[in-house]
Amino acid sequence: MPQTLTDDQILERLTECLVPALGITPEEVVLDASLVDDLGAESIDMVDILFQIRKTFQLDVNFDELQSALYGDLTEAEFFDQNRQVTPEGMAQLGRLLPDFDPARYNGSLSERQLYGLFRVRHLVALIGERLKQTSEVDG
Amino acid sequence: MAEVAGVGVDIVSLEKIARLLGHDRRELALVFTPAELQNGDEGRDASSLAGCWAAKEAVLKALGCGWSGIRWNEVEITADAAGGVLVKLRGGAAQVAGRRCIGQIHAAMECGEAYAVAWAVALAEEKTPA
Repeated sequence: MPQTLTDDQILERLTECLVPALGITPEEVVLDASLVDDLGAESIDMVDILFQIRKTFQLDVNFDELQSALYGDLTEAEFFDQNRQVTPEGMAQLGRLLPDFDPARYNGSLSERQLYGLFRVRHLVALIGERLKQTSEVDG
Repeated sequence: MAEVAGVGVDIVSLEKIARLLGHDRRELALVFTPAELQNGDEGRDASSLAGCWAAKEAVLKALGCGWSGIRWNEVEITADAAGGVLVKLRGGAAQVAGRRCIGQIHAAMECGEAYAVAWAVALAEEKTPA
């Protein structure tokens, strides 16, 4: 590593990172699991998980990259307003990206901190896959 | 007169911090500043660093933002001469505070056997009338 891996291979190795960090069972680590709501991740756990990913995949993945997975084709400036609340355009983007996203749950206003609850295992898998591919292309 | 711009509270388990301390020093330096690690017995004292982490999180909440665009070690938590908590912001954290006219951040923390808890209050400077 770094090398190109299938999503299944990434999920298998990511599971090895998440299980000890979150004190969960491997069966709980499924693509649609929310890191916060389903797997109980706190911000300190995210630090641990990013360090584990660094070791397991030899990738420097940071928090900004994980969060930007939810921006879609919007820039950060378009996704957040000046008070770090998700803009209407950002809410619409989340609706397109996450089929079960319900803006009404947040009274139409979502803070950056509340956004953490939307991170899914699949976002980590996609991010790691993309970064491995980029690294592989540079090395190749 | 300064007005309260935001408040933040956080709690973290010492067990989680002890787990984090299992990572190598290069990684710990991404989270804690040299001064914080020094106060935390060079990264061996989970209780001291748990208080630090809880205070960093409380400060971010008081600033009204998350960690995007802010490195973990850009919020430094140390003790002042009187034994109180001294908060120093750098880089992205200082920029957020600047944009919100936050001139002071006060914080306090306590550490028990299993958890550390911290509170922070961000005070905005009064804007000069145009």
